[in-house]
Amino acid sequence: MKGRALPSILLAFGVVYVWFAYGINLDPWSAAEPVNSRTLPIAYGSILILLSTFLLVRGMRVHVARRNLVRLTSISASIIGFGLLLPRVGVWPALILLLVSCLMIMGEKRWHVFILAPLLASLGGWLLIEILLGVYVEPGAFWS
Amino acid sequence: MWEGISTGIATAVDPINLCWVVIGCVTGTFIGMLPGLGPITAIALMIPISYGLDPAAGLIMMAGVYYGAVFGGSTSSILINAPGVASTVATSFDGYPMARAGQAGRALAIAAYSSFVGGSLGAIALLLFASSLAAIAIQFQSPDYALILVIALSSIAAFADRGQILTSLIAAVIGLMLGTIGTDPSAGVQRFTFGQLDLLDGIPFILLAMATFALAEAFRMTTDRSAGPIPSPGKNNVRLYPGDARDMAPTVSRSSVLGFLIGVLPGAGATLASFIAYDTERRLHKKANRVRGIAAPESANNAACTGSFVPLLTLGIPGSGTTAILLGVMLSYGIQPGPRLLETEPGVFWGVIVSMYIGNLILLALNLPLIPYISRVIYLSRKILIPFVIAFSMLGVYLTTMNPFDIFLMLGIGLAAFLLRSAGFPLAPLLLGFILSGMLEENLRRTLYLSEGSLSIFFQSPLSTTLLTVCLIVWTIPLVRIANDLRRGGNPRD
Repeated sequence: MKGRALPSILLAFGVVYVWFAYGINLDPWSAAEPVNSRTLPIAYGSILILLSTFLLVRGMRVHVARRNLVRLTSISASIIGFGLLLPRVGVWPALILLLVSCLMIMGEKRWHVFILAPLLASLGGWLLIEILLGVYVEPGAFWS
Repeated sequence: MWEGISTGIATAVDPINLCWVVIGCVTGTFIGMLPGLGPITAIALMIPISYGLDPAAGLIMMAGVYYGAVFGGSTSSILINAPGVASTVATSFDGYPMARAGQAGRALAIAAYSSFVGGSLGAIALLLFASSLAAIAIQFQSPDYALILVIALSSIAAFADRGQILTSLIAAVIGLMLGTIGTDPSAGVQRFTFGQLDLLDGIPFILLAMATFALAEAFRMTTDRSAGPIPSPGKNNVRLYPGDARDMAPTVSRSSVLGFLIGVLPGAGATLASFIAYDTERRLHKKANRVRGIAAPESANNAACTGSFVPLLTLGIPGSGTTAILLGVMLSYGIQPGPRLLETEPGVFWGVIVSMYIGNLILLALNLPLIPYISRVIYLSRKILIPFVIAFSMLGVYLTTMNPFDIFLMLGIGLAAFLLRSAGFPLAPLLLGFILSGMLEENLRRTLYLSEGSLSIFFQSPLSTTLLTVCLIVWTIPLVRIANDLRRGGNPRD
């Protein structure tokens, strides 16, 4: 199969990147320098445009594998939930929830695994990071 | 010098100092295995403990922590494709596939032996050539650095797998582009931050490494319907195969020398050394060999760690973030590293160097018996392993930056990496491009600023001219490969 979707995305990414590179603000004194803050981004973007055009013209041989995209979407949603919970409940409770949800999504059915394993992992992490190594981790708005 | 070495041996084998080397190695290995907590964090965490020790014992312990953390990083790279530190990213390229093929113990054993030899050869080289190497390293100027970086980037295309020249180049360019995000350090200008304060410092390297390797791999395993079970470990799993030592010997020797020399250069460090050593081995051997693929970066990064002590001890210039912290520790003891350190604190100078060798020996003795137990991680069920890899990566990144925004950034990059990987793009060049992006821009900008925009500066010294010639040769290699494909009557794969 000749895939052209990914080369097109890369080409679009290159064009948008160069567009924004031209928009980088320069100080009056650095604008005249041989290499300023815009020079290399414009060069990199142009190279990407060139290379992805080659790829687009040539086409990519894409091996289409059967993928479980529902699982990928569910795991991504769990990660987003983890990121949203972090400032609210702190890292260790959020980690427990992330592990529980990912284990359930992966099809783990043994309750002692998807309850105990996350609890023990977070407890171990808390003991190691906060107690033994003395690293301060924000407790989360809910607890403070 | 021999008198100094005997002083160093006497200091290093002192029972109390030996205990501190062991403590340093164990602690460093343990912390290094945790994603996001690399040598810098490990050393920083041990600073309060070092204050209670005398200078020699404190610095000897810190050297053990440094080595241990670098070695520990390779364990998570090999077992779960989650490099704990940047310098072990290259180890995962061949280490992780070996682990997936049921050879986790063998891969860890190769890493342990290679790290030992690399670190030991580095320590011996440090003993013999410390002062003369420092004098050479200081000769490197901005044009030379810029050319070395261009050679490193060009080698991506030159030594890419057949059929992957174009995709490797694209991945490297994307890496270079991602490296421009954040505040431009030379001009203080914001680039591609879109007013987002969280992007002012750019994308953290550990985040990118975790997203492109650990997370993308976890996504691949999550979505793969056709994946079979992981082969179970054999009884002699930890033992090397008969031909392994033969494959490793030349690779480890070459990579150790290369790693040590790169480590001596200020700012280069173990990460660059591991990537260049990996690339060099691929260039020298047309037939892919995973043993060499692990041995090269592991010996190079350990030798580079030793090499980075050269500018620190002899010139008082830290060559990396880790040695910068060590410099701070030395200054807090009232020790001023530099050319006079040998005269003022011979016990410390030689003691630290000798303890590096002893630390390597202890690391090998401690880690080899543990490998069969550590390697069991890979044989966990996918249903359990994948959630833990995801959680481990997220935790590692969050503990490094303490910024929830990075979790979303990591997810976005992880999904993009998964897409690229599914389409057959190699992701290692992306990381190399990202690492080299800032260094290339800084050195190129400084070079052209000095020459007022004239490219003639690259021809002004014999060193620059030689590097430029190497650069041109490297550029011609992919063209020759394509021409050869055409001459044989086939279609060029790129």
